[in-house]
Amino acid sequence: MSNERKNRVDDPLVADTYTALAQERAPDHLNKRVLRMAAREGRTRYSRARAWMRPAAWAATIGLSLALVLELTRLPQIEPETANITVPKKELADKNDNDAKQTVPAAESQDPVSMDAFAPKDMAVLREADERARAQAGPDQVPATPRVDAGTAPDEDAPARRVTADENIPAKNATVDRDSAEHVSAKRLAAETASGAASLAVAAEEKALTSGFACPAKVRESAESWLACIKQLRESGQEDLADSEYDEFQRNFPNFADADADK
Amino acid sequence: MAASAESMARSTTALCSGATLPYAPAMGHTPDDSALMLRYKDGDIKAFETLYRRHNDPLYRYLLRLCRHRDTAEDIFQDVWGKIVKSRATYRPTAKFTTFLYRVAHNCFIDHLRRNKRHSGNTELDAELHSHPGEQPETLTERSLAKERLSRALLDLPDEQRDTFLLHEEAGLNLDEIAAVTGSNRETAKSRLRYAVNKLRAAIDEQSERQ
Repeated sequence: MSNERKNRVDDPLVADTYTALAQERAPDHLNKRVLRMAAREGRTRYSRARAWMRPAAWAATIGLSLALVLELTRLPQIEPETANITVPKKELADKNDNDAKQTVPAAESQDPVSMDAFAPKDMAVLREADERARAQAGPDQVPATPRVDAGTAPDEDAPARRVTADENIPAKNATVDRDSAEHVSAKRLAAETASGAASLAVAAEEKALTSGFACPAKVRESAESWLACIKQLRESGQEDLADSEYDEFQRNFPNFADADADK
Repeated sequence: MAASAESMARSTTALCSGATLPYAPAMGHTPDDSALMLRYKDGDIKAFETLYRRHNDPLYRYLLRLCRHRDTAEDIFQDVWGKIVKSRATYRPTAKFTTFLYRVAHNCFIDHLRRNKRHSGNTELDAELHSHPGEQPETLTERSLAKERLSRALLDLPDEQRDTFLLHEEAGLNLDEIAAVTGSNRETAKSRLRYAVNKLRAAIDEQSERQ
């Protein structure tokens, strides 16, 4: 038993007695001195750095946030669901008006949903927009290319619109009578309901009419009457118009025997 | 048996300080010593205060009994904590903080010994530690006499054995940690501790046998 005890490093009696013996505590003045020294040393290197780093971090955060908010408020308003919104007629007219003068952006032209949204649903709206565009452009300017597409529905007010458009033709075309314009417009409207090829033909005829040909379409239906019209033009001194009419006549009746004689 | 449990509890109190999660100051956990030191490294003065309150009294008793002179113990005590404070910038929690702390204390004591050769003959504290003011020797209880003899025997121990015993009892270090602190190997530490315990036990038993 004694040998066993001598080989042990832990003796309960010794440990217990020592625990009862060792009750001293570090004096307060020593504690205060050490803690004061630790506080002084701890602040010198690290806390001073934090003293300016924290306000600087706050200032930077607030500054960046304000800049971000200002940037966001300056951005243009984007309407992501334009296609799903029912556009009022006035707004649609204005939009079509702008479309007539500007090229449609590629992104919009490639998006069928967007095109449907901007497609004219009412010809009255379209006509109103057309008139407003002419009013803004002034009486001296030639109107833009016809904006009624082949696929659009016919409109009973189209002849009147055509007449309004013809008012802006230059003075040298003033001799074109109102009947021929109405005739062309009526044919054009009829063609709009027919196939695309027919529509293109009517469009070409309308183009010919508006680009300086003086003889009405009804006169052009027969070679003899057309030549008579050309002859009247020459007699009245309108040589340029007669020449352009004759060129058109030759294209339409290339095999007419008396063409050269009447020239 | 009860004494063993109490001893183990004291040891565990010191050892378990490294068993909790680091950097958990406000979650109901007891902060790890190394975590407190790292927080102090980041400028948290309160963390150092907690760390200091945890170790100041055992370290003070260790130095007091190791030096056997109160003023010297207080000087070394301040020196130790000053070095701990200065070493916070380079502190790495690779070992238990207690081992680190008592290694610094041990080295400071060795430096003090080298500077003051007269230390070995200084017995200023002996009378203070042994005295029981207001008590006559014949009125001392058996337990008080045991403490008296233990205290005297402890001061009579060789420095290495006393150092090893105090590291075991006050710091709660095991043999490996004691070897790391004193710069010896485990067997040397074990031998020193065994000699110290046997001498102290013999001093206590001598009192009992005399009665």
